Amino acid sequence: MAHPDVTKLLAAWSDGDSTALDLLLPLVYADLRRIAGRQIKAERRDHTLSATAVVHEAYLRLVGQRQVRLEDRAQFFAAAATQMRRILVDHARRRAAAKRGGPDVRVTLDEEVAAEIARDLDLLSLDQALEELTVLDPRVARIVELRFFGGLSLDDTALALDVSRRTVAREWALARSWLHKRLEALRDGGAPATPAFGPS
Amino acid sequence: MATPPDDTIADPRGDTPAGDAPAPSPPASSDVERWQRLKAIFVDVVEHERTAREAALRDLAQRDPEAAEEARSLLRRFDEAATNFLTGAPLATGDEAEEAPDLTGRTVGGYHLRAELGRGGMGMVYDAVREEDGKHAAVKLLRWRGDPAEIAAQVRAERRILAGLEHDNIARLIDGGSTEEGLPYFALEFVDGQPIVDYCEAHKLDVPARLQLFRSVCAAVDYAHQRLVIHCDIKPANILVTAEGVPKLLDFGIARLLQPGTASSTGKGGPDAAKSALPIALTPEYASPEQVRRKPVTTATDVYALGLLLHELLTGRRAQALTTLAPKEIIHVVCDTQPIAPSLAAPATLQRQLAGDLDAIVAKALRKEPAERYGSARELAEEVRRHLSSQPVEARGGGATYRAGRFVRRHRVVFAAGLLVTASLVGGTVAAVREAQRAQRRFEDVRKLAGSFLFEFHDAIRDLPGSTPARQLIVTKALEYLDILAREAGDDLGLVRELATAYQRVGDVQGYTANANLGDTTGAAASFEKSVALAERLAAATPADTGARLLLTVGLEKLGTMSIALGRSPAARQHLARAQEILDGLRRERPRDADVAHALHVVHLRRGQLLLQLGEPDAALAAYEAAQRGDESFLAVAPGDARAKRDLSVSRSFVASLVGERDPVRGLELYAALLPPAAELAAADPTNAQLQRDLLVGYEDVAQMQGKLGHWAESLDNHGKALVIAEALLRADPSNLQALQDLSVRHAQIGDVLLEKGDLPEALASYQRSLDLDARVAARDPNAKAIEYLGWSHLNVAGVLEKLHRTDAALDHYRQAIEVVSPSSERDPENAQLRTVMAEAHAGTGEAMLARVGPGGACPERARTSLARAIALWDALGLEPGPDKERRDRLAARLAACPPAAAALPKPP
Repeated sequence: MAHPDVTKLLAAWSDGDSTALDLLLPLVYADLRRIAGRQIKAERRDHTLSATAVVHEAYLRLVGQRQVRLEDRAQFFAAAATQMRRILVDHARRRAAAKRGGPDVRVTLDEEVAAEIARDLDLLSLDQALEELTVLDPRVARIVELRFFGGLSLDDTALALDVSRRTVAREWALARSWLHKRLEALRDGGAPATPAFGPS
Repeated sequence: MATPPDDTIADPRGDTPAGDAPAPSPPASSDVERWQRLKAIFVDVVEHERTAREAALRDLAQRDPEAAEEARSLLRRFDEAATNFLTGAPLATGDEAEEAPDLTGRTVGGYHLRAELGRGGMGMVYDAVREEDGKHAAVKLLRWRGDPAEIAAQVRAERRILAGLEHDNIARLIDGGSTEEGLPYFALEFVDGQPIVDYCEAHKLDVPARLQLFRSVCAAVDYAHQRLVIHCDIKPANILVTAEGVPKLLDFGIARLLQPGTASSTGKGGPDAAKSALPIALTPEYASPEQVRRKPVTTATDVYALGLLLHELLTGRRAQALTTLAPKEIIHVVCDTQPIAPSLAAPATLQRQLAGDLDAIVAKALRKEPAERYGSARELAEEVRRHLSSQPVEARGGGATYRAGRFVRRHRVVFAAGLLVTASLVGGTVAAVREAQRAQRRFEDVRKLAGSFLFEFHDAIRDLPGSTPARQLIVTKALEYLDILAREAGDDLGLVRELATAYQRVGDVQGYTANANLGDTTGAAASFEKSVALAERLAAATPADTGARLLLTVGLEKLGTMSIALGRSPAARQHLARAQEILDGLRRERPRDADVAHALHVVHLRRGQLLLQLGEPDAALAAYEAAQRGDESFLAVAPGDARAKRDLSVSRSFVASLVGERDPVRGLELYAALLPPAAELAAADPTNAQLQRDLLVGYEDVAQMQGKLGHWAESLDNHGKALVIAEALLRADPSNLQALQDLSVRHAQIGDVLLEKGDLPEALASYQRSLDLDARVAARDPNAKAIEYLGWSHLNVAGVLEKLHRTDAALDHYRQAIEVVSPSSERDPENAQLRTVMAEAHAGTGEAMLARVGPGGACPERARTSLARAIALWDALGLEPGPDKERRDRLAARLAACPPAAAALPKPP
């Protein structure tokens, strides 16, 4: 069955075996794409997309009914978060390119997912800002990835990163504040990166 | 929908490498350093209240004014603008509990909340102490806002009831009320323990120990029910087991408080609860049909949850697995889907222990209709006790009560989805085997994977109609890594054994005709050969190991069976004789070994099949009788063995068939006696394809005997029953060749009866249907049996056409029969069945041509040639006196009486 293998891959991965992650991620990716597409179709009416629901579904699909250690579960969601970010940002980028290319470009379901998010947020800018944040502080950036793209709870984020819940909560607050400011700067005309201190 | 401004459309890391703004690379170390200073201050003060925060910032500003100012600016942004940034829709976390405030450090109802223990759909739980006396408690705050006065009244009412629950296995309610903001809270006895399933796993409890724990839980639930309190949210997380091994139920009655419209509430649930599709406190994996349908909950709701708990305790898996959280899906899974039987869900090692009583008990507790479940938690506990003391359990009784094993297996699609994932994982892992530096570790991984893959998964779906494609997928992937492993097996005898077994499994799925199979007879034979070679090695290395010898005989039997199907009769004879010899020895050593008895049974039947095919019916009957004797003597020492019962009914029916060939009246008696037990077994387990097929064969046998005796109406009636089953089996598993073939035989048999009865057009239609099906089977797997059936079908159709005076059409079918069968027959001249088809086809051709000429006319050369060939073929078979012999002699006489009219004419160039 699927579960022991996924668990094993997860375990191997957390032991530092990157091959395991390579094996795991394509599975997650394909599943997420499909589920995300369906989800947005189903829930189109109330214009909400629950990342948690999408990732949960992918997870349940992978591990089946077996109970998995909490740590493994968190690792899974963490892996899913990376994939989710990649899916959404890729499509936001393609969609943006398509918009410039002409009006009649067919929009796929994945792109619709990205579009839903784009109502409130410029995903490409967020991605760029996150890249900047990664350079400054990889863990804080990763927290954003897990919380925002992966829909991980504070507890799961803490488990995945092996830090306390409190640390996650505090750094999550910092990340949100910093990104908020950074995105504002980008929106106001692509201000140069001001990693920590801007000319306020 | 916001369109990104143009300047952000371009990929920021597009064609220009690092250095292009805004990507901040290479990372300036001063940037990182400044960030660290900012971060240190921010995280230090972010949790403070506003005034405390300002004071702290002022202090910090003295050391690092720049960073403190930046932190202040970000904090202001955090409070004012960024509050919901990255948390709201559309990417909501969906985890509303997250938004509930952290109340650590506060005092609620006289309890000091020391640390959060957890949060979930219902609310938050805190580790707390009562301020007046330091009493340790767990305080649960419910995420439910409403009119505080109303909530307080409800909580008070509920508290009065709940506080009356005093039971060793129930965490006591100490206090309850509502906070100033209107959050209801309860203070409960603090239980230091592990969730029950985790506890069982951690302590590796065996099944009886788990059942004892479960009975304690049932006792607690029953106690509460007696006091009119329903739990409504029984699940492993709500049952903690202390270090002393005492289970404690948490949260009695609390879930119920949250469910709108329940008796103890005023009928006005929280506004959220009323709007949401499901009660807010519901845990869908542990919900009952009445809960998800929002029908009244009763004590039967808790009985259902106990059933789910028992299932999970026995299998380690959730009984109701959800693939999505959509309400529709939840309702489908909970209300329309039967959980997989525990014996099938559990690891293979537990299968036997769980099959029977425990499957039946769980099934009864999980009936969709509340009224059909156990009447109380006490009854359920009592049933478990009966099982533990080996008394008969009520769930397995007949009549109105629910019968054992009536699980409908989970929907096939779920399996298929899981498989795809599994298959790709295995593929990837194999690749890793080749590449990994740490070869040994990988090797072990793959080996373990192979084990769970083939043994757990395949077994779980083996008897499930519709599982054939899924099993094919297992096989293809399994073979890839088995071959790798086999090359590296070396002296590791444990691995050799696993591999021998694994190749057998693979062969079974590929083409072992006794089971649903994929029709790859040649591939199956190759797999069985590998299995036999490995088992020989194992048996030679460990002569005292009976298991190794048994494994070898099973492989030999399977290989023999494939050899029969492939027309390799001498090899088949050899393999089966060897298997029987080894098994006779094993049977003497281990007279009570069920596996040995079964293996011997199978080998005898195979020998019978082969002997029939080789034209030795007396020897075949002797083999069948040997099987029957063996089954009877084993059942005498193991009267309860279900498989042995089935084996005996099979060997009896084989004996009956051969007896009936000569004495239909006696045959009908023998067959009719077999029908009731077969019907009972099939009814008890309607999704077991094998049992359905047994029943089908039972009807068919009786019908055939009735046909032989001229009881047309009864015969057609029983044939019809068999046909209905065959069609259902094929519908359930359209890619199963065995099912296709079964259906074809049914139509042919009905054609036989109609022909005997004289209803020619109807008979022709039935034969034609059979022919179409046989052609489909043979196209997919042209093994000897399939070819033989196809040949007979052409003969059947041709025969009726001749009777209808459609001679040309008849001749065409005779020709097709010869075309189809002759290559196989030439390849395996010993195959008497194929030869018989050839003889009949030639004879039919000759007769039809003579009939066209009419009596007294000249005899065409082709008719003479055909008759002569038929006679030669029959002579080579060495016919004993009987109908075939008489037919041969009649044809010889006709040939002699037929002048070679064309002999004088010169042959055309």
